[in-house]
Amino acid sequence: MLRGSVAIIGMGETPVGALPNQGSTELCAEAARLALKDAGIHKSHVDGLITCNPWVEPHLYHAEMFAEYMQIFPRFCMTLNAGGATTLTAVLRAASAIVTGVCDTVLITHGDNPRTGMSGRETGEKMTTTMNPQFELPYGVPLTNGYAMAGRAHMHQYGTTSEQLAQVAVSARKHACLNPAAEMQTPITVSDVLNSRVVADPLHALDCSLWSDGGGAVIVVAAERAKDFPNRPVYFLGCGEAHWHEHFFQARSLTTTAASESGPRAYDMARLGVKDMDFAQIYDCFTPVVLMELEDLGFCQKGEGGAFVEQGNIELGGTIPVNTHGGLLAHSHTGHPGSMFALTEAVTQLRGSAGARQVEHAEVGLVHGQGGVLSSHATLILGTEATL
Amino acid sequence: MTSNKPIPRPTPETQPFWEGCAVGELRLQHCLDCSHVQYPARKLCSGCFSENVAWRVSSGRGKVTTWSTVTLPGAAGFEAEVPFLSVMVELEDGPRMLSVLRDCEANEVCFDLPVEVIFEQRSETIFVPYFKPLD
Repeated sequence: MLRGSVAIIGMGETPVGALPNQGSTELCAEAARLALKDAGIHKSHVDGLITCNPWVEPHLYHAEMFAEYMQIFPRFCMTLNAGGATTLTAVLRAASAIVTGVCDTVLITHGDNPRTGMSGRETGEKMTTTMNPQFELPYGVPLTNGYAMAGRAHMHQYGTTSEQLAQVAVSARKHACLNPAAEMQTPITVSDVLNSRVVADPLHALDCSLWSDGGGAVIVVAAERAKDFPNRPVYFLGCGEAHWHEHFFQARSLTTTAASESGPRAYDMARLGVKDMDFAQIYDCFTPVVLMELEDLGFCQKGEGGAFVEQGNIELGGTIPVNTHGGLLAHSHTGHPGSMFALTEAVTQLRGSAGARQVEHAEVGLVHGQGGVLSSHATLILGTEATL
Repeated sequence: MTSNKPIPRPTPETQPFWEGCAVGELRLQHCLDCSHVQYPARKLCSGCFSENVAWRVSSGRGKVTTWSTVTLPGAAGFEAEVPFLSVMVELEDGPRMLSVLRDCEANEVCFDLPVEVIFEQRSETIFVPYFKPLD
């Protein structure tokens, strides 16, 4: 029912990095303006709005606040909150709303400025609000150590090495160097990663994503209208979600994620398999997460993620180019909007306008996001008109 | 207590857990219908939704299934304690707990290390379960 039913016809990206003169609402607005301009439509045509709550300027009713700010008057309006999976869950809800006739033109826009809008102390304090107040918070263990414990468990169970984890960061950086919009523009080596400060063992500073200001947006409409706009439409082929826990100590497994369910759900809807994917933009807040997702999404066997990345499979020219924009490790990590740049990169690739980092003959791409500590997972599959 | 560490606030379903900690007992809920053991406490058995759930005292023993050294604490009040070892402990009774390992150097911790619960006073009435290597 949803396969091929809607398309992304506009996208916008603000600059990323340290943007001290723009608040999170402003970034959200700038991304929206750019996406509407890209789609060639006036704001009065937006009748669906999906936002996510930023860390810096949260509002209980964020989407309604933002509609007021932009003076748009949607009939479908929601704030989503699935951490790094938010953007992709938003696309599924936009598709569902359009197909069921609830609205016609959905603007999905996110923006946040956690890098310059909060002090380190404020950031720490806000992060603690995601923890279980009785059974996590009393131990003073930050989120990074949660991911570190998952990474260590993967190393123990499957023999994954620090060098293999480092390779994920090296590959991301290589792609970022081909993307003028990415924050990081200089290459790194495996030994650079291994020699960087240990943040939460076994994770080094360069195993961890950036922390950035920025925003992004897309416009979604019904597929039958998609050719009425100036850009090559990018079609929704499938999406799957899986939510296994909120707090990591309650995870069903320390090393297998809910991507092992969200992925197959997306492939089923798209009537495609992992071998059909031309690229994958997958959540890379910390390097071990990429290995788990590659395995759980079926790009390699369970436990073989380390060897898979070491063989160069995830680089441009490899079997499945991953995070061609540079990912959260080297493009930007704007907090909850993080996956938006994975989505806009997928759109850019499928439009064929990715320049030096263009995946040749890109027809189908996968985007995967996860929120919390390996908690909420969403997988989206997009394609060109030829894949309908 | 001069610490500004976070103090857990018991809820009606977790009150017996925290009362147990205050008398040196790690209490877990056992389902009398399906035998599921759960942590944290819930109004019902998360395995079968039975409300026929009883509190039992755990042996307090388990093993380390993963760990990471905390150098930058995730909440106020822990600045003087870093570095410390965050651990996931799989209890003999089944459930997994996040906790912190005491009396153990970073180079001494290993997978499957046998550990036992200890309790550290956090406020007048609240004691938080920590672990140490089993003697």
